[in-house]
Order: sequence, then C-alpha cells, then structure tokens
Amino acid sequence: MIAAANEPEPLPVEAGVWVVVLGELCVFTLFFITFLYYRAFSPELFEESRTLLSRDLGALNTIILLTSSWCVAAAVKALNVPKQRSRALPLLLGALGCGTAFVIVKGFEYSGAINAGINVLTDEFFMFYFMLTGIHLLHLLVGMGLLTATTLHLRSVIATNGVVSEPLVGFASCFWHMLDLLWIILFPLLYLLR
Amino acid sequence: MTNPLFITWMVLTLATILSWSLDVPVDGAWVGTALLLVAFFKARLVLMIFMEVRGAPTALRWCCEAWVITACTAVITAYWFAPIS
Repeated sequence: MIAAANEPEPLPVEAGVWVVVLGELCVFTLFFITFLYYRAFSPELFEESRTLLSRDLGALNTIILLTSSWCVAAAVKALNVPKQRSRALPLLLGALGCGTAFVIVKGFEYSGAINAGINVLTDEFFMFYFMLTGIHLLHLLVGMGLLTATTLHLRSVIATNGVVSEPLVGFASCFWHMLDLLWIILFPLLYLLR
Repeated sequence: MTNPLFITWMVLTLATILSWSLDVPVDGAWVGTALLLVAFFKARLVLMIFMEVRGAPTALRWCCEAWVITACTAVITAYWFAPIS
C-alpha cells in the first residue's frame, strides 16, 4: 500500500494533449478578454445586438454539449471496466448525435440571422459573434471527426476483442470536453451578459 | 443515481438553466458577474470530473486550477474595468 501510494499518479491522457488543450484555453481566454474590451467602448450597441440573439437556442446548445460531454466521460469510464466495454459504443454514438444536434441548432441560428439581414459586417458585436462561434464550430467539426474515428476504432476493437488505443480515446475525449468547456464560457459572454 | 458523472451533469444542467432564467432588469454588472462566476464554476467541474483532472498528478491539477483562476479573474476584470470611451 505504501509503495503504491508513493508511485506517481498517471496522467489521465498524454502530456502532449494537455499542452494542446491548455494552449487552446489560453488563446480563447484572450478572445474573451478582447470581446469584453471592445464591448466597453460601445455597450449600447453590444446590448442592442445581443438582444437579437436567441438565449433559448444558446441555452439549448449548452445543454446539448453538456450531455455530449457526459456521454464521452461515461464511455471512457466504461472502457476502463472490461465487462462494460461494449457500453462505450452507444455512448459515443450518443455524443456524436449531440454534436450533430449542436451543428443543426447553430445552422438554424446562423440562417435566422442571415435571413434577418445580419452578417459579420453588421456591427462589432456580430463580428465577434460570428468569429467566436465560427471558430468554435470549426473546432467542433474536428472534434466530431475525432469521435467518429474513435467510434470506428472501438467497433473493430470490440468485434475482435483487441486492444483499445488509449492515445486516440484520450485525445478525442479531452478535445471534446474542451469544446464543451469553451462553450460554457461563450454562452453567458455572447447571449446573457447585459 | 449516485454516479458522480451523472450528478455532475445534473449540476451543470441546473446551473445552465439557472443562468438562462436570470434575465432580471437590475444592476446588470452584478448579475453579469454572477453569470461569469457560475460559468467558470461549471468549467472547473468539467475539468475536474469529466476530464479526470481531480485525480491527476499535482502539476497538471495546478495548471488547470491556475487557468480557471487566471481566466476567471481576467474576464471579470475586463467586464468591470475595461475603458469606457
């Protein structure tokens, strides 16, 4: 017991993944601060534009991403228990379903804005809105690609009783949680702050 | 339902609903600060529970805690003290 207690704790995923994740978090933090800085110069304009966004759709997308993150965390947990490995597959498919739902809601939101004559050049608020949510959406599509690769890998691993690729699962899960985390901050910043 | 992941998801969802429902026309800066604090609390929960940082080596845990504290302080400071034209 003492020897085990003295052993270094393993990293949840590889160190390189954390460099990417923490790097992304720092870059997005700078985006958030830049948004708030410009907001302070024209608070009335930012407030007026903010009210044109649907806080309901913003909240819906937050809950969708939280649910997807839970699915991924539960899938990783299931993979660590040999008897529960097969549970990981439907959970990952659930996460992918949530990712697709997020993209659909975002598309609905973008099309509504564009149909109302709002675009990236409308004003500073919408320049930030389209830039921040657009960059997040691009990351989300990459995350969905990683989750798809992980799902396909797990399907073949479960069918052949093979070995799970921990780097792939670790990177995909960590990256996905990071997307959820960033949206958690973006939601109040863009949709709720008066 | 005592699964820690499920409880975390419940807390995160309830916090989201609370933030969404907080649309009161009072002093916006204080409400905004509360919304940002709730958001960073949620972000920390995702890091610690979903990303399993809670049981990770100390160095990683401190890096993540440092990000939460620094980002939260910087964002709230920018929200309150950015120059007004």
